[in-house]
Amino acid sequence: MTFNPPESPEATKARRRRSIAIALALGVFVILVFVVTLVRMGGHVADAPPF
Amino acid sequence: MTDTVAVTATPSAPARWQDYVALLKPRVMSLVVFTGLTGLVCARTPIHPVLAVMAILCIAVGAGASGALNMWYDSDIDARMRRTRGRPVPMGRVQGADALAMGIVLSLLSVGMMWLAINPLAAALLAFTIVFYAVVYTMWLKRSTPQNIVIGGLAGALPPVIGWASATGSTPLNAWLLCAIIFLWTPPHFWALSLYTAEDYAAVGVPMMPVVKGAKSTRLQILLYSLALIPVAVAPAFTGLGGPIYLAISGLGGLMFLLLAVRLVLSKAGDRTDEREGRLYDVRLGAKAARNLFAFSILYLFLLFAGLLAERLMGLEALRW
Repeated sequence: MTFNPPESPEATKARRRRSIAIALALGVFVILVFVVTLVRMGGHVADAPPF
Repeated sequence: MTDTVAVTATPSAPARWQDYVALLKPRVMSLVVFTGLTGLVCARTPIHPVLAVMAILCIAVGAGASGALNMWYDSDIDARMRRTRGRPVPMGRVQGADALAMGIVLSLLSVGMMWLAINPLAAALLAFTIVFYAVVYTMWLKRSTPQNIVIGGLAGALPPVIGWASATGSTPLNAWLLCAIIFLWTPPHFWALSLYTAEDYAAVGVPMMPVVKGAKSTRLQILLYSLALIPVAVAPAFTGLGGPIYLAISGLGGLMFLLLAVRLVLSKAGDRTDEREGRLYDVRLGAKAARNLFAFSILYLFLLFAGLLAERLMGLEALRW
């Protein structure tokens, strides 16, 4: 059994900041995929046949 | 107790965002972005601006991922070298496992995005570059042969080819010419640096050329690689890639490079004649020639690629002979 000492407030804050940064990075990634998809598909996507 | 214990010690302070940026080796990344962009622009093939930005972003993130993997694996020797002991992992601010995870995730994201957004060839070249740097160079060559930076230099030389492949889906001779320039530039550039940092490499058992073969042999090999580099650097002016600006830069720059390499051969740079203690980059008397070549080599490579980039952006035609 291992004993984990309690996390310091400073470490908790740092972990929270890191989590927010990762969330923001994921958000940016999703936006990039969306934009690239639009560019790759080109215009008049809605007019294209579904299959 | 060994020095490596310090590497895995409890973090001395929580990581700051700057530590994660440092893991990506931003200075190396900036050079990679610059040469990759030059390759993309020199391809002379129209590419949607958004996709061009994506290609460069993927190259940058891939380079950063390689840096993080390198810092994870090399943290034991980084902790014992003056140049690298302030890095986040040896300082204990970022755990090695975190650096590894960051490197793997960014590698997968950059290669995956390159595949989806650009083309499979560019993605494959990017994946090869990351694996070559992180596995072949970092894990294998670096600690086993004095040819480490010669062969490993291929990883740093590939970004213009990736840029070119991003625009065209192919890699013609001119793309590989840009790769050859960086490949041949790496040994004189890196060995000039290692001539005045050899003690650090020797202390951690990394077989850099001056450590294994001595300073005199290293100086001679720097000259030989310089002699090989200079004509290759001029070649794009004769293969439909470079214009008059590039010809002038590569010609005059090459002569200057050669002059500094000859001065280095005639110097005593790296010889163990001056044992005074000093900071890492203090110029010892005999090492001035090595430092001069090291500094000029950075300017030289920058000017070569900036010349090509400027000619394309100004709409100048390549020379026809």
